[in-house]
Amino acid sequence: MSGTHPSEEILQQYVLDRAACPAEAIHHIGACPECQATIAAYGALGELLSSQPAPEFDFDLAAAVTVRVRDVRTRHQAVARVRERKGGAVGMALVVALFAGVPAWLFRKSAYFVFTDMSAAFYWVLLAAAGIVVGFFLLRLHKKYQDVINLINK
Amino acid sequence: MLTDRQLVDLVLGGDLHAFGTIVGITESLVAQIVFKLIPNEEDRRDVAQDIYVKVYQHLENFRFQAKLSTWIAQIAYNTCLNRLQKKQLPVYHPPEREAGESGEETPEDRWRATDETDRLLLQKELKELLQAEIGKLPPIYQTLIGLYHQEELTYHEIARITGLPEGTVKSYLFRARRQLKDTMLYIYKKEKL
Repeated sequence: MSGTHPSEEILQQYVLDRAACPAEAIHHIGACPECQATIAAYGALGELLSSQPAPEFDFDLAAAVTVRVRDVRTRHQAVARVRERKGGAVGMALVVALFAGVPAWLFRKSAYFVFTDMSAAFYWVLLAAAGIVVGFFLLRLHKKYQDVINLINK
Repeated sequence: MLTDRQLVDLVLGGDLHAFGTIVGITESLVAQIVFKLIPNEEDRRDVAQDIYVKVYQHLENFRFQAKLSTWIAQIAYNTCLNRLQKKQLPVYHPPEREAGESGEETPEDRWRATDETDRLLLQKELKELLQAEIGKLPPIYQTLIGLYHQEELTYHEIARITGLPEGTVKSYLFRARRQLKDTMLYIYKKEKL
């Protein structure tokens, strides 16, 4: 037997991976019954630890997760659709602004003379018609939004 | 048997059956972490599902720098920690201590006195005793023991999952084993007397 006992850390290392132990320690252990007893204890402990029953979920995890994942996927698709629609609406507004706004800006001075000959009643009718169209458009948009929200919360 | 990459590609392509396969492959590893860190059974059920929903949501970010199972275990560990923090349950990290400073008498002699046949006869009893003793360890020790000895992960993989330095993982495992060995020998001696 050579020198003092190796540390318990080295003895554990000896059990787990003998090749990684210092040669001096291996030499000592070979001749030391005390260290051999510790190694036997760690060896037995290692076997017992490996053979412990593995914890298991008491329900079908894969099935439960698949249901939730399907739900998540549906929501993602719904959100993507909302974004797509939003993008479409913004695009449409831009196109309208471009086609109506540019000529209106270019002919802004002549437009005054066009409208000065119209009666006040005509202005009111025009305003009311525009209000109805915008209101209808907003109502439709709100309904679509509600549909998507209902789908998400389902 | 499909590779990690093939499975991930299938799931990203919309194949939920492939995701079920991933759950099946990694369930035991996730269970090791969830059972050791989450004490409440109801919470475990929720946490386990949350883990896989997170995995699904972030799968496109998986870069194959580690095994898929290691990545999922990492998510499992972090999800458990977040749950504990939300519920304000402490994650017990034992204080640093020098090796060999156990303070108790080492009972190797008693172990040595036992021959192989006796040990085999007592194997079942010891298994049950050990299970109870593992349950008394701090949750982080229990987790590391499960990952190393039952899931047979390397120190490097465990360090990656837990975010602890490899040296700390080794040190915690060393202390857990020493504590278990000492306790088991102590109990064994008491029963023999």
